[in-house]
Amino acid sequence: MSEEFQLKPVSFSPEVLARIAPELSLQRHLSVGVRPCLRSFQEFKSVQINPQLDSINRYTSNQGISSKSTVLGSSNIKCGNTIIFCTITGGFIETLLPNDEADENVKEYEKIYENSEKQENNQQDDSLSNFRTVYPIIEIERGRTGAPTDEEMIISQTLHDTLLNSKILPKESLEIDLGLKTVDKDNNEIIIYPNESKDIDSSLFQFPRKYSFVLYASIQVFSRSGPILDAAWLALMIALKSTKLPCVYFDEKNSNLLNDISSLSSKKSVKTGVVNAKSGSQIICDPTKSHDLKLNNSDLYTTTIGLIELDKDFSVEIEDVENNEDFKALSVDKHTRNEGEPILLCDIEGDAEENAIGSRVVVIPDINTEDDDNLVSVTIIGGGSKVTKQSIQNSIGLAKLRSKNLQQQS
Amino acid sequence: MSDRRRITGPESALPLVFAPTPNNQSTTKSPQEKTNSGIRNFFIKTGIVSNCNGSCFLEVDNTTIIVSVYGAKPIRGSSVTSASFSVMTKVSNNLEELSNFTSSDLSHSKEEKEEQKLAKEDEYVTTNQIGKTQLSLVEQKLSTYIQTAFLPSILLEKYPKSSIEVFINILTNDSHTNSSLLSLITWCANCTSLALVDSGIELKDMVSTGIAKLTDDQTVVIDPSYSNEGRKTVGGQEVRAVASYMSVTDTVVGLMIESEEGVNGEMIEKVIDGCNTMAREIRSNMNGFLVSTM
Repeated sequence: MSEEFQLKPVSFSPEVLARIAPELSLQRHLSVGVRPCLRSFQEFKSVQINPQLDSINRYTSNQGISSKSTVLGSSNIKCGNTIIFCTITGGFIETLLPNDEADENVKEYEKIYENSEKQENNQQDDSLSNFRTVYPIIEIERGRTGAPTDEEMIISQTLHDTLLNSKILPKESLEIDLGLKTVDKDNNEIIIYPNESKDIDSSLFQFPRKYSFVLYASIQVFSRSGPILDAAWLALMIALKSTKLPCVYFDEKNSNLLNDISSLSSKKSVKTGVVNAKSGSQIICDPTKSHDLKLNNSDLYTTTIGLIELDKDFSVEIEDVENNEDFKALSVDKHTRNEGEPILLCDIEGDAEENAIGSRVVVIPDINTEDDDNLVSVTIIGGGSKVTKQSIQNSIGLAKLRSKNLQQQS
Repeated sequence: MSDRRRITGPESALPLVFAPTPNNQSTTKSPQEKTNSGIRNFFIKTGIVSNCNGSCFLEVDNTTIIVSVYGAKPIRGSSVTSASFSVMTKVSNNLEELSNFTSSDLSHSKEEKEEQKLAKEDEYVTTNQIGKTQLSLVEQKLSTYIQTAFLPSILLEKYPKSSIEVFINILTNDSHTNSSLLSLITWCANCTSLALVDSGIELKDMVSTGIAKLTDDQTVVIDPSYSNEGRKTVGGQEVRAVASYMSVTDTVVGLMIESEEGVNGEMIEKVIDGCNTMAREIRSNMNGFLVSTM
């Protein structure tokens, strides 16, 4: 009795293969010159920047006022199929108290960079303590609830750090010039601001404490299809550009009472919650007046480029397709590549690309300066493939091109 | 203990406090006037979220909602004979005014002094806490209503050992018209209905939802919005209701009635009739939309 064993080849649909064997799937695609997402190697996703959500901004461009909104700035962008909403909200913080002076993260940075900066003659204006950042919360919709995922945490931290280190948001932009709400001769309530009424004695505006804004960003992502740092950063930048900070005034009504309370508490040197709440409710945002948030340079865009080397073991026979006219139209970059150089893929998308490409170059070029080689940030993650000098140069070139393109759009 | 998974910013930061908007300015910019008869125009689009099984986007005035449906997906280690169905609602962090619904809606009935006091508290809008983990009251109410209303419509026994999850994201809410919680429930429910159809999950029937209001003079207003009525109906015997229907079997699957003064049978009948009228109209709209997308 003889039994014949036959091993039947198992076949998977492209989507399943991309998930269970991303490397194989990607290599097969690349060896015939196409990407799984059908874009060409160095083709970026299309980006659509929609007008800001006027309906939720408190201070919208046409001076209409959403009566109950607390949103200071917002953006809505579409990158490929991915939809991102970003809203900026705020809070304030007392700046003269030594404990609260700087965010802990800023202090940490300063510790790290202190030594190197001292060597470079320690330029005062450039010190990180003169710049601020926003506190981003990113939420990527993927049908689950609970604590943020690793990716969400990493991207929040990256956005926070990059914004601080790129020195876009100077400390002065967030400082509050307090106005004063008081009564005039006819007993009407008026609000005066230091910058608009120069004839008024400036001693009026000498407040015991200084306040500045803190900004929070909430970023919601729908239809994630690949790494979303680039798109999240873009959404954050656009939202910051649209941000309007409220004019803030000090309500004189209860100031005497407050001074009493705070002097009492300072004697005991206890910072009670009561005083905190009271002093907060005295600093009130003007319901209608606002001014633009001043940014140093709002034309910074991150570009992530994936690097992968072709593996000959995975290559597929392409004789059948080579004569096919339709296919030739799709495969663009096959012959323009040098042997031994890794392939550069823009805007990684889909399971196969995301899981198989470990090596990435993230570049933020500064395109506003005359100097062509000015870069704000370059991050190189070596995840398997060989990162050559040529490929880094090419990546930077692509990032510049992309940034200029986005600058024109926004 | 501070949240170490999120970057929550300095702990000593205080929320922004906004002074009330002067009345003359807030009224200048109201969206299109709505007549008392008829439903506001709304925009729907299905399938906009690609990494879920079904999704729908709905926009009405300035309210925008995205509903995404995940499922039926397997639950590990469970051997139930029918699928579990759950609804999660998320209101964007910045839409703090929603949480004022309960208190401000109640303020109609209270005595004038108390109302003024409440109103004064409500006037100052403050920013919300970032990175909240618990559902707010509004989110809970919304989730519960929609779960209750859709439970009878889904053929859960077709999907053993699996779960169907609905995520409702309220991106913006109409802060001009201050539309009420009931109105929000209505549009969320209609959006969910289309998202479920888009997901291909087997349904007995599509659920359509309507909202109506019975005013003092016993007239029924469907799809009421605060923009044209003002909020000065103090002491009025207003009855507001939301009702969800499955048209094929002509059954009510969800009902929520809100009134300050108490209701009687006659009132309920009238207001439900109003809801039914709106639900039917919505249903024919949705049918038309689904046929056009085929």
